[in-house]
Amino acid sequence: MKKRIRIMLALVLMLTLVVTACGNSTPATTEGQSESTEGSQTEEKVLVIALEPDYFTFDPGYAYELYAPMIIGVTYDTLYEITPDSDFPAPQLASECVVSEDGLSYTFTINPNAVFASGNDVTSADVKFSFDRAKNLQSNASALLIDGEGNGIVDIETPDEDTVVIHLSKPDSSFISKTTSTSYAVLDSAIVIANGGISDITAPGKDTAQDYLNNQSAGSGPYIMESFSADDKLVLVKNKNYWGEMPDYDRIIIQDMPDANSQLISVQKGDIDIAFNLSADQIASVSSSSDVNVISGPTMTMGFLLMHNDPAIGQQVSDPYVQKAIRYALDYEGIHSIIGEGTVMPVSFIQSGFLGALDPVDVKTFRDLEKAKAFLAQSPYPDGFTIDFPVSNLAPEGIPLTLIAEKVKSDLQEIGININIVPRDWGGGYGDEYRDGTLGFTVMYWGPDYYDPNNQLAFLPGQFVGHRAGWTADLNPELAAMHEQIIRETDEAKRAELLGQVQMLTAENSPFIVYAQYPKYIVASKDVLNVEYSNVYRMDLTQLKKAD
Amino acid sequence: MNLAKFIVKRLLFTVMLLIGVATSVFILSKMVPGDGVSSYLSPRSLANEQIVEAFKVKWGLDKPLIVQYVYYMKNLLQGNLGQSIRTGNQVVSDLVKNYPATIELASMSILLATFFGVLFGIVSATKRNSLIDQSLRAVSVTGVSVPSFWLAILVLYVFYYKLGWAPGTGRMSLGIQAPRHITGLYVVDGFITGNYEAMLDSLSHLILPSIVLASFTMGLITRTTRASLLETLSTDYIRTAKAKGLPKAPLMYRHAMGNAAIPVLTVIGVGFGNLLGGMVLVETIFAWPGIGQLAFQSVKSLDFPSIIGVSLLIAANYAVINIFIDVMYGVIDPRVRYDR
Amino acid sequence: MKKFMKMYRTNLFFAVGTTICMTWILIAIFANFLAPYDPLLQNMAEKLKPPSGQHWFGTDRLGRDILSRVIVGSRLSISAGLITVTVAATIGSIYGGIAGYVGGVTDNIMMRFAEMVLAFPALILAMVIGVVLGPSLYNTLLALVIVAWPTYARVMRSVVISIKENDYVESSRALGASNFRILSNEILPNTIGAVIILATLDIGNQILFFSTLSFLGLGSPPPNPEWGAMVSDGMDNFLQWWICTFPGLAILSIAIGANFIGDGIRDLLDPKLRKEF
Repeated sequence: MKKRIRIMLALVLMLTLVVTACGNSTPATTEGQSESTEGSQTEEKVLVIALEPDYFTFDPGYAYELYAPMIIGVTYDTLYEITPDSDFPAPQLASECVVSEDGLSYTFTINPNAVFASGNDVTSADVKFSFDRAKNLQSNASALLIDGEGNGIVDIETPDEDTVVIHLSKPDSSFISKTTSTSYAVLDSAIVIANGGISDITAPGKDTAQDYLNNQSAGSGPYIMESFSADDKLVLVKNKNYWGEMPDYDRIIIQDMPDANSQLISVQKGDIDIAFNLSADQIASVSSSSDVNVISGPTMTMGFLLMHNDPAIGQQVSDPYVQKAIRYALDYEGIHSIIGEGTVMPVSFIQSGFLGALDPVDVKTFRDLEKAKAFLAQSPYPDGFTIDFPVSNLAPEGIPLTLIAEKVKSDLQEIGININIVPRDWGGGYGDEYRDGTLGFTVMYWGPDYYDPNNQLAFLPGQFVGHRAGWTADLNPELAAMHEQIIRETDEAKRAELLGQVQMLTAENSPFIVYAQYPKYIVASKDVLNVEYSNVYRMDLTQLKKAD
Repeated sequence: MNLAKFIVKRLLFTVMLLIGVATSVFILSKMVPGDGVSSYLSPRSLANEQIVEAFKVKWGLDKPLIVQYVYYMKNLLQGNLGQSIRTGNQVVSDLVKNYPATIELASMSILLATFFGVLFGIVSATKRNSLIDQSLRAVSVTGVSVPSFWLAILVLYVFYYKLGWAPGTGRMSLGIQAPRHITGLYVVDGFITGNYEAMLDSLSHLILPSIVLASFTMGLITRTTRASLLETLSTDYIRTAKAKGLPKAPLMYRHAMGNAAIPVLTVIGVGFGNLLGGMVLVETIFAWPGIGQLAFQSVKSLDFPSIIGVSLLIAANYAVINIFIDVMYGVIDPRVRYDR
Repeated sequence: MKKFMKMYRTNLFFAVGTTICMTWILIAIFANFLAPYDPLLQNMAEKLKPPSGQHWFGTDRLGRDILSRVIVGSRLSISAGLITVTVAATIGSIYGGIAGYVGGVTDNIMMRFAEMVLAFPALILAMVIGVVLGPSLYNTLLALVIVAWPTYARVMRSVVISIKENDYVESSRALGASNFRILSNEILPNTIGAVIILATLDIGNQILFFSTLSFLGLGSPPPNPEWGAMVSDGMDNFLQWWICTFPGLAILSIAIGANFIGDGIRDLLDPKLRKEF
């Protein structure tokens, strides 16, 4: 008996040793510091949001994920912004913008009131530094400033403190829209430079500011990022120096909660104020509850099937008749009932809600098995065929792509097409093959990285998503040419018309089947007002108000 | 002297073992199909070759394998685990940050498991084949048979959602500030700093996940304690002792417990290893910011610097525990020699 | 066999365990006859229905009958458990037996390697292997075996060593018995039991581990029914409690059955234990 006690004691002792050894080497973290901010006189307004995060960096030069804009959007300002009231960008840091006759130079005047959270003035030098850095870092932001062929921003001039002139290599009808994205966030150059920020072409190897920017913000937005701990939480506090209208909440805690069920329970119990990652099936159980509101809205996330046009890669599905047969064989109504209420099916790859988008397809009547079989009969495989169907482990808006794949399998069986679902890991090769355009038949999703329909033109023949389906420009030169035409078209009405034409032309004849535009469901406590899904930020935190 | 030599030898071996673990993960990481870029770049950036190239240069993915390996090992031997691709932090600082949460949960679970396991085991063995033995055996078998991911969902549903007896996920309730950082264990820190609110709150958050984690180890310990007690009781020398007319109770404690302790200790060690592995799912489901969740997220995004870091940490823990157990063998049973 | 029947009558746990496992094996064999619906048949009109007379275990997100999926899913789980244990036990005990019997430097090197694999966090190793090789049934089984064999090696080695040092082996060696004689007369009969006990006890574990991996999305590709994957499905919809409860209970029950049998066999093979007390 004594010996057993000795063993136990020794075990405990050892554990303690391991623990203290670790504890000693730990620097005091922010948890300790935040204690001191307690005890202010007035009651602090605190908002707690639960999220399954996908972000890992808040450096605007690197971030691209779905939820990063929610944070970067309130900690940084951009020259223009998308407001909830309008589809067109409105000035934010800029007070006005003049576009040159040839569409190649944009002259922005910076609002003289604008200051960073640090107290520094926002100047043209900050804008130049931020844009140069984003462009030269050669990471995610760069892709929005300059494309693979070197088209985009070529030069930035700063004639005086409040004026920035941006020169483009060719006209871009969506340039103002692009400046609203987080890639164009304006950084406090003094702070970023002091922490290793570099904006010239040596940036990719030499810039070390990401470490700093991951843990605190250096912008002029209404909030500052107080702390970020991956797999734990992120804390935003009100920027006392904010130059615009002050938001209502003093402190916003974004708690990591990867499990949607926990989010659902926590919000119903009042432990958190907003739950962000709920599916339609989960919502069904709470709509009757009285303490919370269910908010839903359409997202710009669209799911699509890709059928590669190159027979060597796409095999049977490269045949245009097979592509049509598949288009009419799918049970979109059933697929939408998996994704949930509010799902729509855009005519083609331009999401409903964008400039020029046509009315969505009526999914109740679209499916036509007879037509599908007739198309299949015209193809070289009238009796059907068997084909592999790789699917990644991703889950847009919480709906696993494999679930969609299972439904697709069952639908296609009805016209004699048998697909073998091959689960793949996104990082373990699928992503590379998708990028390189070597997947024959698959299901994927897409979300725009800036709020403009031009974003969607990447699906056109010859463009980079089109390439992934082997849709080269020579397969449809007329359609491919429309890309350039729309990019250069600065008249919004004409651009809308052209975008409409693109949808008509691709509704039935394209290697993509856009099966759904996903909805988003949010459950929020009734204490929080103005909760809305935002396609730009996921949620505009500055709008939120605490009920009295 | 003998013992000291043994420990030094084992520690040296542990270092080699860790090098082996790092090497294996490194090799595995290079077997991943594709170039490991797609998890970190946006779809638009992936289409831009300059950006893809810049990413590879930044993370050294453009160098020949052997160069990458030598470079990595050189850093590793200097204690530099590199930078996590996913979090952008130094892997060491991620580990240091998450380790206390895991240790707190693991200690709580192992204490629960050992206490109940040994207790149940002794009761079972002494009251062999009684109703209480049968029920305890049923409990322990259920413990080792229940899928932890399922149990985690179940207890959350029942005790948090339906009954409201236990708090939900995370280490602390959201309104409560963590205690000042001393050891990183909230319960201990709360106690030391006199922040009893935080202490009790974090303790209550420990209950559900530690029960889920402990169930398997508890069952294992019960079973082993019972079995090895019965086994030693049936060995020749105990039978002889019994034949000599020694009374039953002291006999059990003096002889049987000592001998039975070895397998029990082994199982506690194995159990601890299992716990650290089982952490992966339980921490993820309970949103526990520990090593397990770090491991899960790192594997999910194929962040190999971080995967190697986590594997090394868990392997080191495991090795240290094993050395400790081997040392304990000798303490319990002097016949064990260390020179083997 | 006689012993077995006696066990069945006298040992309650063994009886219960055998009954559970036999039932599952029968269910697996006759799955196609027993399943009331096609486990792959989707019916969107019937999706997420709670248990009823029509669907005893309810339906899932695609309107498939969960009872049928649980029944058909038993095949995969049971065969995965058996295959893993057989392969791992064979590899591991040969490895450990060699190490233990040869001893010396060979033993040292061999066991250091096994220990390295053992020191690896099993789930992380299996997950990484799954990602590296691609998530398929074959690769999942491979990952299971890679993770499982060192335990056998370790146990086998310690058993071999303890027998080697036992008085009777030492004395027969002193009497001049050959290696082969010692192996076949003393070591083999005494170790087989240990391996069988371990293997039987391990089947439950391996079924659990397999379900854990399939919970994580490794394993056989959808839409094939697999218990772990079904629980993971149910996790997304856990207010529809039946989706994850029934496959979870299936895993639990078969693991309990296997573990009860393991306990029983341990008693059976350890006759000393039954005489005592």
